[in-house]
Amino acid sequence: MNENIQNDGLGENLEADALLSRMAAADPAAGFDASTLSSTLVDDAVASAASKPNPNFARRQGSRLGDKLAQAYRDRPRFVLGSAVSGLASVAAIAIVGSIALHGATGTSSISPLFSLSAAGGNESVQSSNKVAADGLVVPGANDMMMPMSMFHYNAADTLSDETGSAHVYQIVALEDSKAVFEKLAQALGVEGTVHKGQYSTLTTVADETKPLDQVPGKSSLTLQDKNWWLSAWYGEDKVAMTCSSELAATNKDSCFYVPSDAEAGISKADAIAQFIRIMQITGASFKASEVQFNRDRYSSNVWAELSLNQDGASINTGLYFGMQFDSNGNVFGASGALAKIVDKGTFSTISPIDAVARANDPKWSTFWGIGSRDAYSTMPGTTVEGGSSEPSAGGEIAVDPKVIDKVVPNSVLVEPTPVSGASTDSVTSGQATTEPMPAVSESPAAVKVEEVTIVRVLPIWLQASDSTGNTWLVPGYQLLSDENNYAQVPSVQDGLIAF
Amino acid sequence: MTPDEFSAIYREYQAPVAKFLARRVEFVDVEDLCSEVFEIAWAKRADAVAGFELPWLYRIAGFVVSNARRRATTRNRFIASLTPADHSPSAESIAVADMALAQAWGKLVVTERAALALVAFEGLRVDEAAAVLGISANAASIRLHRARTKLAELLKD
Repeated sequence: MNENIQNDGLGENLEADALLSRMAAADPAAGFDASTLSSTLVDDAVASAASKPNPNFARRQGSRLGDKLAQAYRDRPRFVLGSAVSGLASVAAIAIVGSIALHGATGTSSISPLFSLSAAGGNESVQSSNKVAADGLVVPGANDMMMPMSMFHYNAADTLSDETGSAHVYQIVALEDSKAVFEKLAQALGVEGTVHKGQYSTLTTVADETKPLDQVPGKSSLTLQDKNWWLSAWYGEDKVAMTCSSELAATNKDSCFYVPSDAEAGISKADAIAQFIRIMQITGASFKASEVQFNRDRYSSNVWAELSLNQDGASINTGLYFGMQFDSNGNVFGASGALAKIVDKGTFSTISPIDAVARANDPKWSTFWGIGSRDAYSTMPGTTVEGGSSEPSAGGEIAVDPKVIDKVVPNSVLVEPTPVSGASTDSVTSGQATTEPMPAVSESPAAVKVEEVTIVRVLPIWLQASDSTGNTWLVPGYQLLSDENNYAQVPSVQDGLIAF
Repeated sequence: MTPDEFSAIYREYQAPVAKFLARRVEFVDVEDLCSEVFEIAWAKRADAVAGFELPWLYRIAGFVVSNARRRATTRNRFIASLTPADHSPSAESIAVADMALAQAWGKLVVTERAALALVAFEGLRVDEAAAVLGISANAASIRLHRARTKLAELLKD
């Protein structure tokens, strides 16, 4: 290890570091008592592992917990995926045009679910985690020591629209030839190693994933997990003259680290973008130079872009981010993206903003902290994309075209999923966006007060969802905002399209 | 190394590994996943790095958490499933104690959360965190610096 990297032990500086102190005070494991676990857990685990003849037992047999969940998947009713009737073709990623369009539509009709989110009992576990007492206090469920699912109750401001609309729903699927594309990507990025199925990944070039990456200059690895890939490589600090930044060490109490002697050295913006476009094209993702963002700080040069697709003249942000990072020598030391294609599953009705607020109070719809499309975070300055670094602030809210929200297109074609012949949907339970009745609470070991929040703005966004069979979906949604910048995100698809 | 010898060395890491898991999965799942971690550790015992046993166990635990989360799509969550394997504590888990911190935490990217969590919650040194993340210590230091700066800015808003 390089002697100039000083590890001062950040944990020892907690008292002097307000941020880390605050984080330590919010330790998610604060309420967990490790002594409640079996005192012979390690011995039993080792004895169990030692008795198994196959060294790959962990992968082959799965964990006890994994087996339970895997069986739940197998036992659950299979729901039928719909097919687009309107003639819309499968869409690959193309360029930005226009803005997201939500068209008004007349009426809704009962439909079969397009996909399901729950396994047996899954919905119960979500609801049981959000018991609310009569006085508004939220009590964590008996078996859920983590957190209450909601600490806010949302109300719609009078100014919110009650207009419904329609929008497409997409499925994001892995490429049929993922391995071949992955191999080409590895070759283009100069990654050595045989591409193979990893113990913890879909594909990898790493011989042993449990070993830390060798601290060797030039060593790199490429990994594919489901539909997401990323490159890890040695940051080229060995190839430039470096100075330990005493300024940073003094002000941040961080470990001393290398600062390239010439912060502006490295790849040019034009070359970085060109290389980004060339590499991502290998994965099937096409970008124009104007769509690619670039910035440079003292550590690296970074390019990134969000994949969008063009539907009916409108641009849809997919939430699929691609990025590359270059060191001061212009070498790639990081990259990430998706190996996937986007399939249009049809047009469906969407609920009104007012109904979306009501839906936000329903745990099965509102349990969402994930990252949707970039639009969902454009109100925050300094938002970064996966694999990239700080980008110029978008500054303020999304400029939503009022014509988009108010536009009503009567008699739009609504597509109902067409069940495949022979498939049963008897087990379908249509989701209802209603507030669950508040059960009586006999004890409240750790109650949290529910805060009333008035939603005054609603922005259209796109959300990703994983269904019960592991497929990924891109669904329209709303971001709900209050004057205090509280927010919630819910899908806007009509009731019944998603089964819980 | 016999099973008894292994257990004698690694028994002391049961509690910190359990806490690592408790920060990232539901408490009821900790025991099962903890067992899985040590089963894998036994199988991979030849790869343990002297002096870095705990970071090595955390690295295994990170994979176990990522796998468990992928299997747990039954939780009715809309997630960014196309991001790299995420084994950092979720924003919801922090929300119990500090909602503002949780909201800011949720806006960090996966790699930033993973690095910060190892230092702030697990109390690792930068080089130990780097070993868990599978990156160089310098890269880990840079990632931490960026993550702390960004989190601090988000908390100001």
